[in-house]
Amino acid sequence: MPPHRNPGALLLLADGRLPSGGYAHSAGLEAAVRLGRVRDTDDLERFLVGLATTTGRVAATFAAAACATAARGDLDGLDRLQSEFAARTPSPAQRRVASALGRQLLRALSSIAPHELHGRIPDRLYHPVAFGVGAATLGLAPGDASRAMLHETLMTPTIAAPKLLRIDPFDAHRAFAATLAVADSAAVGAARDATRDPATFPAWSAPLAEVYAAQHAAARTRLFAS
Amino acid sequence: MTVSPRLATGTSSAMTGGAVVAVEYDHVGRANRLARLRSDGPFRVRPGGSKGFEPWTGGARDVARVAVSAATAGPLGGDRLAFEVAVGDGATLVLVDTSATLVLPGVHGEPSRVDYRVRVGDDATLIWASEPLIAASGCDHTHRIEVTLAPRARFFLRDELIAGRVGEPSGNLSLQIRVTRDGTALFDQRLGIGPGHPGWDSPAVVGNAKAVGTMLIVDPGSTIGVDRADLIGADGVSVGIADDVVAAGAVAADSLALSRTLDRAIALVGSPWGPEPGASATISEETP
Repeated sequence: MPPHRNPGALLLLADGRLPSGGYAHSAGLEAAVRLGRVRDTDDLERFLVGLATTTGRVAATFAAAACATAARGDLDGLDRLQSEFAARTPSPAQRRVASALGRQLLRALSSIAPHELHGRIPDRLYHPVAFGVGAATLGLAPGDASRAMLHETLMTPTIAAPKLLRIDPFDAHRAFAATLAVADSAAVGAARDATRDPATFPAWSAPLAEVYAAQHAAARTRLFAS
Repeated sequence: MTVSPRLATGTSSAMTGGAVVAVEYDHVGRANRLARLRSDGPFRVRPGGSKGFEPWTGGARDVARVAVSAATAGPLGGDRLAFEVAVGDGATLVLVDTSATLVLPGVHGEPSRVDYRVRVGDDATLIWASEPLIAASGCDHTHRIEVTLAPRARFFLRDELIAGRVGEPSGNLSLQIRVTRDGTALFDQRLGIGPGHPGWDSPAVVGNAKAVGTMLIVDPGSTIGVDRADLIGADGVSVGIADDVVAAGAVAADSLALSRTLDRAIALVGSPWGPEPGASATISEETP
Protein backbone atom coordinates (compact mmCIF):
# COMPACT_ATOMS: atom_id res chain seq x y z
CA MET A 1 0.00 0.00 0.00
CA PRO A 2 1.23 3.49 -0.79
CA PRO A 3 1.94 5.75 2.20
CA HIS A 4 -1.01 7.89 3.25
CA ARG A 5 -0.90 11.36 1.83
CA ASN A 6 -2.60 12.86 4.83
CA PRO A 7 -2.15 10.53 7.80
CA GLY A 8 -3.42 13.14 10.23
CA ALA A 9 -6.61 13.66 8.24
CA LEU A 10 -7.25 9.90 8.15
CA LEU A 11 -6.92 9.74 11.95
CA LEU A 12 -9.27 12.72 12.30
CA LEU A 13 -11.95 11.08 10.14
CA ALA A 14 -11.65 7.65 11.77
CA ASP A 15 -11.54 8.90 15.36
CA GLY A 16 -14.68 8.01 17.28
CA ARG A 17 -14.32 11.27 19.19
CA LEU A 18 -15.13 13.24 16.02
CA PRO A 19 -18.40 14.97 16.96
CA SER A 20 -20.45 13.44 14.16
CA GLY A 21 -23.11 11.62 16.17
CA GLY A 22 -21.98 8.02 15.64
CA TYR A 23 -21.64 7.43 19.38
CA ALA A 24 -25.43 7.52 19.70
CA HIS A 25 -25.85 4.42 17.52
CA SER A 26 -25.34 0.68 17.98
CA ALA A 27 -25.86 -0.43 14.33
CA GLY A 28 -28.55 -2.91 15.29
CA LEU A 29 -26.69 -4.41 18.22
CA GLU A 30 -29.21 -3.17 20.79
CA ALA A 31 -32.09 -4.99 19.05
CA ALA A 32 -29.90 -8.07 18.48
CA VAL A 33 -29.20 -8.20 22.22
CA ARG A 34 -32.84 -7.65 23.10
CA LEU A 35 -33.89 -10.48 20.76
CA GLY A 36 -31.32 -12.77 22.37
CA ARG A 37 -29.21 -13.22 19.26
CA VAL A 38 -26.08 -11.60 20.74
CA ARG A 39 -25.27 -12.69 24.30
CA ASP A 40 -21.48 -12.58 24.79
CA THR A 41 -18.12 -11.58 23.33
CA ASP A 42 -18.07 -14.47 20.84
CA ASP A 43 -21.48 -13.48 19.51
CA LEU A 44 -20.28 -9.88 19.24
CA GLU A 45 -17.29 -10.99 17.19
CA ARG A 46 -19.54 -12.99 14.83
CA PHE A 47 -21.90 -10.02 14.61
CA LEU A 48 -18.98 -7.79 13.56
CA VAL A 49 -17.69 -10.30 10.98
CA GLY A 50 -21.18 -10.49 9.47
CA LEU A 51 -21.32 -6.71 9.14
CA ALA A 52 -17.80 -6.54 7.65
CA THR A 53 -18.56 -9.05 4.89
CA THR A 54 -22.04 -7.72 3.98
CA THR A 55 -23.36 -4.22 4.57
CA GLY A 56 -19.96 -3.00 5.79
CA ARG A 57 -18.37 -4.12 2.55
CA VAL A 58 -21.13 -2.35 0.62
CA ALA A 59 -20.75 0.86 2.67
CA ALA A 60 -16.97 0.82 2.20
CA THR A 61 -17.41 0.50 -1.57
CA PHE A 62 -19.76 3.48 -1.69
CA ALA A 63 -17.43 5.52 0.54
CA ALA A 64 -14.47 4.85 -1.77
CA ALA A 65 -16.52 5.63 -4.87
CA ALA A 66 -17.97 8.81 -3.34
CA CYS A 67 -14.44 9.95 -2.41
CA ALA A 68 -13.25 9.58 -6.02
CA THR A 69 -16.49 11.06 -7.41
CA ALA A 70 -16.39 14.09 -5.11
CA ALA A 71 -12.68 14.66 -5.76
CA ARG A 72 -13.44 15.17 -9.45
CA GLY A 73 -16.48 17.35 -8.66
CA ASP A 74 -18.95 14.96 -10.29
CA LEU A 75 -22.25 15.86 -8.59
CA ASP A 76 -24.34 13.73 -10.98
CA GLY A 77 -22.11 10.82 -10.03
CA LEU A 78 -23.02 11.38 -6.35
CA ASP A 79 -26.74 11.24 -7.27
CA ARG A 80 -26.15 7.93 -8.99
CA LEU A 81 -24.36 6.60 -5.89
CA GLN A 82 -27.31 7.72 -3.75
CA SER A 83 -29.85 5.73 -5.79
CA GLU A 84 -27.63 2.65 -6.02
CA PHE A 85 -27.05 2.75 -2.26
CA ALA A 86 -30.80 3.10 -1.62
CA ALA A 87 -31.44 0.02 -3.80
CA ARG A 88 -29.03 -1.90 -1.54
CA THR A 89 -30.69 -0.55 1.62
CA PRO A 90 -34.33 -1.60 1.39
CA SER A 91 -34.97 -0.97 5.09
CA PRO A 92 -36.60 2.45 5.57
CA ALA A 93 -35.27 2.49 9.15
CA GLN A 94 -31.71 1.93 7.93
CA ARG A 95 -32.16 4.60 5.24
CA ARG A 96 -33.32 7.10 7.86
CA VAL A 97 -30.31 6.35 10.06
CA ALA A 98 -27.94 6.58 7.09
CA SER A 99 -29.43 9.96 6.13
CA ALA A 100 -29.18 11.32 9.66
CA LEU A 101 -25.58 10.18 10.11
CA GLY A 102 -24.63 11.54 6.69
CA ARG A 103 -26.10 14.95 7.48
CA GLN A 104 -24.43 15.10 10.90
CA LEU A 105 -21.03 14.10 9.52
CA LEU A 106 -21.02 16.70 6.77
CA ARG A 107 -22.27 19.38 9.14
CA ALA A 108 -19.41 18.58 11.51
CA LEU A 109 -16.77 18.48 8.78
CA SER A 110 -17.92 21.68 7.08
CA SER A 111 -17.37 23.45 10.39
CA ILE A 112 -14.16 21.65 11.39
CA ALA A 113 -12.41 21.66 8.01
CA PRO A 114 -14.19 24.00 5.56
CA HIS A 115 -13.85 23.10 1.90
CA GLU A 116 -15.46 24.66 -1.19
CA LEU A 117 -17.15 21.33 -1.98
CA HIS A 118 -19.34 21.60 1.13
CA GLY A 119 -21.26 24.46 -0.47
CA ARG A 120 -21.98 22.52 -3.67
CA ILE A 121 -22.92 19.01 -2.62
CA PRO A 122 -26.54 17.94 -2.00
CA ASP A 123 -27.53 18.42 1.65
CA ARG A 124 -28.95 14.90 1.98
CA LEU A 125 -26.41 12.15 1.45
CA TYR A 126 -26.44 8.66 2.92
CA HIS A 127 -23.70 8.07 5.47
CA PRO A 128 -21.28 6.08 3.25
CA VAL A 129 -21.64 8.61 0.42
CA ALA A 130 -21.21 11.52 2.86
CA PHE A 131 -18.25 9.72 4.42
CA GLY A 132 -16.55 9.44 1.03
CA VAL A 133 -17.26 13.09 0.27
CA GLY A 134 -15.84 14.03 3.68
CA ALA A 135 -12.73 11.98 2.96
CA ALA A 136 -12.30 13.83 -0.34
CA THR A 137 -12.59 17.23 1.34
CA LEU A 138 -9.84 16.14 3.74
CA GLY A 139 -7.59 15.22 0.80
CA LEU A 140 -7.84 11.49 1.43
CA ALA A 141 -7.72 8.74 -1.19
CA PRO A 142 -10.58 6.27 -1.97
CA GLY A 143 -8.67 3.44 -0.25
CA ASP A 144 -8.50 5.53 2.93
CA ALA A 145 -12.24 6.21 2.72
CA SER A 146 -13.10 2.52 2.43
CA ARG A 147 -10.83 1.52 5.32
CA ALA A 148 -12.10 4.30 7.59
CA MET A 149 -15.72 3.48 6.67
CA LEU A 150 -15.25 -0.14 7.73
CA HIS A 151 -13.56 1.01 10.92
CA GLU A 152 -16.52 3.28 11.68
CA THR A 153 -19.07 0.56 10.81
CA LEU A 154 -17.48 -1.97 13.17
CA MET A 155 -16.45 0.44 15.91
CA THR A 156 -20.02 1.74 16.36
CA PRO A 157 -21.42 -1.55 17.76
CA THR A 158 -18.09 -2.28 19.51
CA ILE A 159 -18.33 0.88 21.60
CA ALA A 160 -22.03 0.26 22.25
CA ALA A 161 -21.49 -3.35 23.36
CA PRO A 162 -20.36 -2.78 26.99
CA LYS A 163 -23.52 -0.70 27.55
CA LEU A 164 -25.74 -3.53 26.24
CA LEU A 165 -24.01 -6.74 27.33
CA ARG A 166 -22.33 -7.98 30.48
CA ILE A 167 -18.89 -7.50 28.92
CA ASP A 168 -16.22 -4.89 29.59
CA PRO A 169 -14.50 -2.60 27.06
CA PHE A 170 -11.52 -4.98 26.85
CA ASP A 171 -13.85 -7.80 25.75
CA ALA A 172 -15.52 -5.57 23.19
CA HIS A 173 -12.23 -4.40 21.73
CA ARG A 174 -10.95 -7.98 21.70
CA ALA A 175 -13.92 -8.89 19.49
CA PHE A 176 -13.12 -5.89 17.29
CA ALA A 177 -9.43 -6.82 17.04
CA ALA A 178 -10.37 -10.36 16.01
CA THR A 179 -12.13 -8.97 12.94
CA LEU A 180 -9.21 -6.84 11.70
CA ALA A 181 -8.07 -9.27 9.00
CA VAL A 182 -11.62 -9.67 7.66
CA ALA A 183 -12.14 -5.90 7.73
CA ASP A 184 -8.82 -5.21 5.99
CA SER A 185 -9.62 -7.66 3.25
CA ALA A 186 -13.15 -6.22 2.86
CA ALA A 187 -11.71 -2.69 2.63
CA VAL A 188 -9.22 -3.66 -0.07
CA GLY A 189 -11.96 -5.46 -2.02
CA ALA A 190 -14.27 -2.46 -1.61
CA ALA A 191 -11.66 0.00 -2.94
CA ARG A 192 -11.14 -2.26 -5.96
CA ASP A 193 -14.89 -2.68 -6.60
CA ALA A 194 -15.42 1.10 -6.29
CA THR A 195 -13.67 1.73 -9.62
CA ARG A 196 -16.40 -0.15 -11.51
CA ASP A 197 -19.84 0.94 -12.73
CA PRO A 198 -21.98 1.53 -9.57
CA ALA A 199 -24.64 -0.83 -11.00
CA THR A 200 -22.17 -3.67 -10.44
CA PHE A 201 -21.13 -2.67 -6.91
CA PRO A 202 -21.42 -5.36 -4.24
CA ALA A 203 -24.94 -5.78 -2.88
CA TRP A 204 -24.35 -8.15 0.06
CA SER A 205 -27.30 -8.04 2.40
CA ALA A 206 -27.74 -8.79 6.09
CA PRO A 207 -31.35 -9.96 6.58
CA LEU A 208 -31.21 -10.02 10.38
CA ALA A 209 -29.70 -6.52 10.52
CA GLU A 210 -32.77 -5.33 8.59
CA VAL A 211 -35.02 -7.06 11.10
CA TYR A 212 -33.10 -5.38 13.95
CA ALA A 213 -33.47 -1.95 12.37
CA ALA A 214 -37.24 -2.36 12.06
CA GLN A 215 -37.59 -3.84 15.57
CA HIS A 216 -35.50 -1.04 17.04
CA ALA A 217 -37.51 1.68 15.28
CA ALA A 218 -40.69 0.19 16.74
CA ALA A 219 -39.31 -0.31 20.27
CA ARG A 220 -40.88 1.79 22.99
CA THR A 221 -37.71 2.25 24.99
CA ARG A 222 -34.21 2.34 23.58
CA LEU A 223 -30.75 3.31 24.66
CA PHE A 224 -29.30 4.00 21.22
CA ALA A 225 -30.73 5.79 18.18
CA SER A 226 -30.23 2.65 16.07
CA MET B 1 -36.16 -34.86 -7.70
CA THR B 2 -34.33 -37.58 -9.52
CA VAL B 3 -30.69 -38.50 -9.62
CA SER B 4 -29.08 -37.27 -12.78
CA PRO B 5 -27.65 -39.82 -15.19
CA ARG B 6 -24.63 -37.50 -15.28
CA LEU B 7 -23.92 -38.34 -11.67
CA ALA B 8 -24.83 -41.97 -11.93
CA THR B 9 -22.36 -42.57 -14.74
CA GLY B 10 -19.75 -40.25 -13.30
CA THR B 11 -19.30 -38.45 -16.60
CA SER B 12 -18.68 -34.74 -16.73
CA SER B 13 -21.26 -33.13 -18.95
CA ALA B 14 -21.76 -29.63 -17.66
CA MET B 15 -24.67 -27.91 -19.32
CA THR B 16 -24.71 -24.53 -20.99
CA GLY B 17 -28.36 -24.42 -21.98
CA GLY B 18 -31.30 -22.64 -20.49
CA ALA B 19 -34.80 -21.53 -21.27
CA VAL B 20 -36.75 -18.76 -22.93
CA VAL B 21 -40.30 -17.77 -22.03
CA ALA B 22 -41.87 -14.87 -23.89
CA VAL B 23 -45.47 -13.73 -23.61
CA GLU B 24 -47.21 -11.12 -25.71
CA TYR B 25 -50.63 -9.60 -25.48
CA ASP B 26 -52.60 -9.93 -28.67
CA HIS B 27 -54.76 -6.80 -28.79
CA VAL B 28 -56.83 -8.10 -31.71
CA GLY B 29 -57.66 -11.48 -30.18
CA ARG B 30 -57.58 -9.95 -26.67
CA ALA B 31 -55.52 -12.80 -25.30
CA ASN B 32 -52.08 -13.55 -23.93
CA ARG B 33 -50.01 -15.58 -26.32
CA LEU B 34 -46.86 -17.60 -25.59
CA ALA B 35 -44.64 -16.14 -28.27
CA ARG B 36 -41.63 -18.26 -27.37
CA LEU B 37 -41.30 -21.26 -25.11
CA ARG B 38 -38.23 -23.41 -25.31
CA SER B 39 -35.73 -24.99 -22.98
CA ASP B 40 -32.81 -27.35 -22.85
CA GLY B 41 -30.52 -28.54 -20.10
CA PRO B 42 -32.00 -29.16 -16.68
CA PHE B 43 -35.03 -26.89 -17.17
CA ARG B 44 -38.27 -27.86 -18.83
CA VAL B 45 -40.84 -25.14 -19.46
CA ARG B 46 -44.40 -25.93 -20.45
CA PRO B 47 -47.78 -24.24 -20.36
CA GLY B 48 -49.25 -24.76 -16.92
CA GLY B 49 -52.68 -24.60 -15.38
CA SER B 50 -53.98 -22.43 -12.60
CA LYS B 51 -52.86 -23.42 -9.11
CA GLY B 52 -56.14 -22.19 -7.72
CA PHE B 53 -56.44 -18.93 -5.79
CA GLU B 54 -54.75 -16.22 -7.86
CA PRO B 55 -56.13 -12.90 -6.66
CA TRP B 56 -53.29 -10.93 -8.28
CA THR B 57 -54.42 -11.69 -11.80
CA GLY B 58 -57.64 -9.84 -11.08
CA GLY B 59 -59.78 -12.83 -11.95
CA ALA B 60 -58.64 -12.79 -15.57
CA ARG B 61 -58.92 -16.26 -17.05
CA ASP B 62 -56.73 -15.81 -20.08
CA VAL B 63 -53.42 -15.11 -18.33
CA ALA B 64 -50.45 -17.07 -19.62
CA ARG B 65 -49.19 -19.70 -17.21
CA VAL B 66 -45.87 -21.44 -17.50
CA ALA B 67 -44.52 -24.15 -15.22
CA VAL B 68 -40.80 -24.77 -14.87
CA SER B 69 -39.85 -28.31 -14.00
CA ALA B 70 -36.63 -30.25 -13.77
CA ALA B 71 -35.69 -32.32 -16.81
CA THR B 72 -32.62 -33.59 -14.94
CA ALA B 73 -31.11 -33.01 -11.54
CA GLY B 74 -29.35 -29.81 -10.88
CA PRO B 75 -28.08 -27.29 -11.54
CA LEU B 76 -24.89 -29.30 -11.09
CA GLY B 77 -21.35 -28.07 -10.63
CA GLY B 78 -20.00 -26.81 -13.95
CA ASP B 79 -23.44 -25.88 -15.36
CA ARG B 80 -23.79 -22.39 -16.81
CA LEU B 81 -27.39 -21.72 -17.59
CA ALA B 82 -29.35 -18.74 -18.89
CA PHE B 83 -33.06 -18.22 -18.33
CA GLU B 84 -34.82 -15.47 -20.21
CA VAL B 85 -38.31 -14.20 -19.44
CA ALA B 86 -40.04 -11.48 -21.47
CA VAL B 87 -43.52 -10.17 -20.73
CA GLY B 88 -44.64 -7.77 -23.45
CA ASP B 89 -46.65 -4.58 -22.89
CA GLY B 90 -50.08 -5.40 -21.48
CA ALA B 91 -49.43 -9.14 -21.09
CA THR B 92 -49.75 -11.22 -17.92
CA LEU B 93 -47.59 -14.23 -17.07
CA VAL B 94 -47.75 -16.47 -14.03
CA LEU B 95 -44.47 -18.38 -13.76
CA VAL B 96 -44.28 -21.25 -11.26
CA ASP B 97 -41.91 -24.06 -10.38
CA THR B 98 -43.31 -27.56 -10.10
CA SER B 99 -40.93 -28.50 -7.29
CA ALA B 100 -38.05 -27.28 -5.18
CA THR B 101 -34.65 -27.09 -6.89
CA LEU B 102 -31.78 -29.04 -5.36
CA VAL B 103 -28.45 -27.46 -6.26
CA LEU B 104 -25.78 -30.18 -6.29
CA PRO B 105 -22.00 -30.19 -6.51
CA GLY B 106 -20.66 -31.62 -9.74
CA VAL B 107 -18.32 -34.58 -9.81
CA HIS B 108 -15.37 -32.22 -10.30
CA GLY B 109 -16.39 -29.66 -7.68
CA GLU B 110 -16.75 -26.86 -10.22
CA PRO B 111 -18.99 -23.84 -9.58
CA SER B 112 -22.38 -23.58 -11.27
CA ARG B 113 -24.33 -20.52 -12.29
CA VAL B 114 -27.78 -19.58 -13.51
CA ASP B 115 -28.47 -16.11 -14.91
CA TYR B 116 -32.05 -14.95 -15.23
CA ARG B 117 -32.83 -11.97 -17.44
CA VAL B 118 -36.36 -10.77 -16.97
CA ARG B 119 -38.15 -7.96 -18.79
CA VAL B 120 -41.64 -6.75 -17.94
CA GLY B 121 -43.32 -4.15 -20.15
CA ASP B 122 -45.75 -1.34 -19.43
CA ASP B 123 -49.11 -2.46 -18.02
CA ALA B 124 -47.73 -5.98 -18.01
CA THR B 125 -47.70 -8.31 -15.00
CA LEU B 126 -45.24 -11.00 -14.02
CA ILE B 127 -46.13 -13.19 -11.06
CA TRP B 128 -43.12 -15.34 -10.30
CA ALA B 129 -43.72 -17.77 -7.47
CA SER B 130 -40.66 -19.94 -7.34
CA GLU B 131 -40.17 -22.93 -5.09
CA PRO B 132 -37.22 -23.19 -2.65
CA LEU B 133 -33.65 -23.42 -3.83
CA ILE B 134 -31.81 -25.97 -1.69
CA ALA B 135 -28.03 -25.67 -1.33
CA ALA B 136 -26.90 -29.30 -1.04
CA SER B 137 -23.69 -29.77 0.91
CA GLY B 138 -20.65 -29.15 -1.30
CA CYS B 139 -22.38 -27.12 -3.99
CA ASP B 140 -20.91 -23.82 -5.17
CA HIS B 141 -23.65 -21.99 -6.97
CA THR B 142 -24.46 -18.45 -8.10
CA HIS B 143 -28.01 -17.51 -8.90
CA ARG B 144 -28.46 -14.07 -10.42
CA ILE B 145 -31.81 -12.53 -11.27
CA GLU B 146 -31.80 -9.29 -13.22
CA VAL B 147 -35.20 -7.72 -13.69
CA THR B 148 -35.87 -4.76 -15.98
CA LEU B 149 -39.25 -3.15 -15.34
CA ALA B 150 -41.00 -0.61 -17.52
CA PRO B 151 -42.42 2.36 -15.54
CA ARG B 152 -45.89 0.77 -15.35
CA ALA B 153 -44.87 -2.90 -14.95
CA ARG B 154 -46.39 -5.01 -12.14
CA PHE B 155 -44.15 -7.59 -10.58
CA PHE B 156 -44.26 -10.22 -7.85
CA LEU B 157 -41.28 -12.31 -6.83
CA ARG B 158 -40.79 -14.75 -4.00
CA ASP B 159 -37.56 -16.60 -3.37
CA GLU B 160 -36.58 -19.02 -0.64
CA LEU B 161 -33.12 -20.44 0.05
CA ILE B 162 -32.60 -23.54 2.17
CA ALA B 163 -29.18 -24.06 3.74
CA GLY B 164 -28.62 -27.75 3.00
CA ARG B 165 -30.89 -30.78 3.12
CA VAL B 166 -32.04 -32.06 6.49
CA GLY B 167 -29.07 -32.94 8.67
CA GLU B 168 -26.33 -31.74 6.31
CA PRO B 169 -24.29 -28.53 6.32
CA SER B 170 -25.10 -25.94 3.69
CA GLY B 171 -23.32 -25.75 0.37
CA ASN B 172 -22.25 -22.39 -1.02
CA LEU B 173 -25.06 -20.53 -2.69
CA SER B 174 -25.45 -16.89 -3.54
CA LEU B 175 -28.64 -15.31 -4.77
CA GLN B 176 -28.61 -11.82 -6.23
CA ILE B 177 -31.78 -10.02 -7.18
CA ARG B 178 -31.36 -6.73 -9.00
CA VAL B 179 -34.43 -4.85 -10.14
CA THR B 180 -34.36 -1.65 -12.16
CA ARG B 181 -37.42 0.38 -13.08
CA ASP B 182 -37.39 2.94 -15.85
CA GLY B 183 -33.60 2.67 -15.87
CA THR B 184 -33.08 3.37 -12.15
CA ALA B 185 -31.99 0.84 -9.53
CA LEU B 186 -34.95 -0.10 -7.32
CA PHE B 187 -33.73 -3.15 -5.39
CA ASP B 188 -30.35 -4.83 -5.41
CA GLN B 189 -29.63 -7.45 -2.78
CA ARG B 190 -27.28 -10.38 -2.73
CA LEU B 191 -27.20 -13.03 -0.06
CA GLY B 192 -24.53 -15.68 0.26
CA ILE B 193 -24.96 -18.77 2.43
CA GLY B 194 -22.55 -21.59 3.18
CA PRO B 195 -18.95 -21.83 4.40
CA GLY B 196 -17.60 -20.00 1.33
CA HIS B 197 -19.36 -16.84 2.50
CA PRO B 198 -17.62 -15.86 5.77
CA GLY B 199 -19.99 -14.33 8.28
CA TRP B 200 -23.13 -15.78 6.69
CA ASP B 201 -24.14 -17.48 9.96
CA SER B 202 -23.41 -14.28 11.90
CA PRO B 203 -26.20 -12.98 14.14
CA ALA B 204 -26.20 -9.91 11.83
CA VAL B 205 -26.85 -11.95 8.66
CA VAL B 206 -28.74 -15.26 8.85
CA GLY B 207 -27.76 -16.54 12.29
CA ASN B 208 -28.58 -20.18 12.91
CA ALA B 209 -31.51 -20.14 10.49
CA LYS B 210 -31.85 -22.90 7.91
CA ALA B 211 -34.15 -20.94 5.59
CA VAL B 212 -34.06 -17.38 4.32
CA GLY B 213 -36.44 -15.71 1.94
CA THR B 214 -37.32 -12.56 0.07
CA MET B 215 -40.52 -11.24 -1.39
CA LEU B 216 -40.93 -8.22 -3.64
CA ILE B 217 -44.12 -6.62 -4.92
CA VAL B 218 -44.12 -3.75 -7.39
CA ASP B 219 -47.63 -2.41 -8.01
CA PRO B 220 -47.61 0.92 -9.87
CA GLY B 221 -50.34 3.33 -8.90
CA SER B 222 -50.94 1.60 -5.58
CA THR B 223 -49.92 2.83 -2.13
CA ILE B 224 -48.86 -0.57 -0.77
CA GLY B 225 -45.46 0.76 0.34
CA VAL B 226 -46.53 3.97 2.07
CA ASP B 227 -45.36 3.93 5.71
CA ARG B 228 -45.17 0.13 5.69
CA ALA B 229 -42.95 -1.43 8.36
CA ASP B 230 -44.58 -4.73 9.33
CA LEU B 231 -42.77 -6.80 11.95
CA ILE B 232 -43.53 -10.46 11.33
CA GLY B 233 -42.55 -12.41 14.40
CA ALA B 234 -38.99 -11.82 15.58
CA ASP B 235 -37.35 -12.87 12.32
CA GLY B 236 -39.24 -11.19 9.51
CA VAL B 237 -39.94 -7.70 8.25
CA SER B 238 -41.96 -6.27 5.39
CA VAL B 239 -41.31 -2.68 4.40
CA GLY B 240 -42.20 -0.12 1.79
CA ILE B 241 -39.15 0.77 -0.30
CA ALA B 242 -41.19 3.14 -2.48
CA ASP B 243 -44.84 4.24 -2.33
CA ASP B 244 -45.83 1.38 -4.64
CA VAL B 245 -43.18 -1.20 -3.74
CA VAL B 246 -43.00 -3.64 -0.81
CA ALA B 247 -39.99 -5.79 0.06
CA ALA B 248 -40.08 -8.48 2.72
CA GLY B 249 -37.24 -10.49 4.16
CA ALA B 250 -37.21 -13.25 6.72
CA VAL B 251 -35.13 -16.02 8.22
CA ALA B 252 -36.61 -19.16 9.74
CA ALA B 253 -35.75 -22.53 11.21
CA ASP B 254 -37.12 -24.36 8.18
CA SER B 255 -38.90 -23.96 4.87
CA LEU B 256 -42.38 -24.33 6.36
CA ALA B 257 -41.83 -21.61 8.96
CA LEU B 258 -40.36 -19.34 6.29
CA SER B 259 -43.38 -19.89 4.03
CA ARG B 260 -45.71 -18.94 6.85
CA THR B 261 -43.77 -15.73 7.50
CA LEU B 262 -43.81 -14.69 3.84
CA ASP B 263 -47.51 -15.66 3.54
CA ARG B 264 -48.18 -13.39 6.47
CA ALA B 265 -46.23 -10.56 4.80
CA ILE B 266 -48.36 -10.95 1.67
CA ALA B 267 -51.57 -11.06 3.68
CA LEU B 268 -50.66 -7.78 5.38
CA VAL B 269 -50.14 -6.06 2.02
CA GLY B 270 -53.85 -6.65 1.44
CA SER B 271 -55.97 -6.88 -1.67
CA PRO B 272 -55.32 -7.91 -4.37
CA TRP B 273 -52.03 -9.47 -3.24
CA GLY B 274 -53.37 -11.15 -0.16
CA PRO B 275 -56.51 -11.12 1.95
CA GLU B 276 -57.38 -7.77 3.46
CA PRO B 277 -55.72 -7.48 6.87
CA GLY B 278 -58.21 -8.64 9.45
CA ALA B 279 -60.42 -10.29 6.84
CA SER B 280 -59.61 -13.67 8.29
CA ALA B 281 -59.71 -14.46 11.98
CA THR B 282 -57.03 -17.10 11.44
CA ILE B 283 -54.59 -14.58 10.08
CA SER B 284 -55.31 -12.04 12.81
CA GLU B 285 -54.65 -14.63 15.47
CA GLU B 286 -51.19 -15.29 14.05
CA THR B 287 -50.15 -11.78 14.94
CA PRO B 288 -47.22 -12.19 17.34
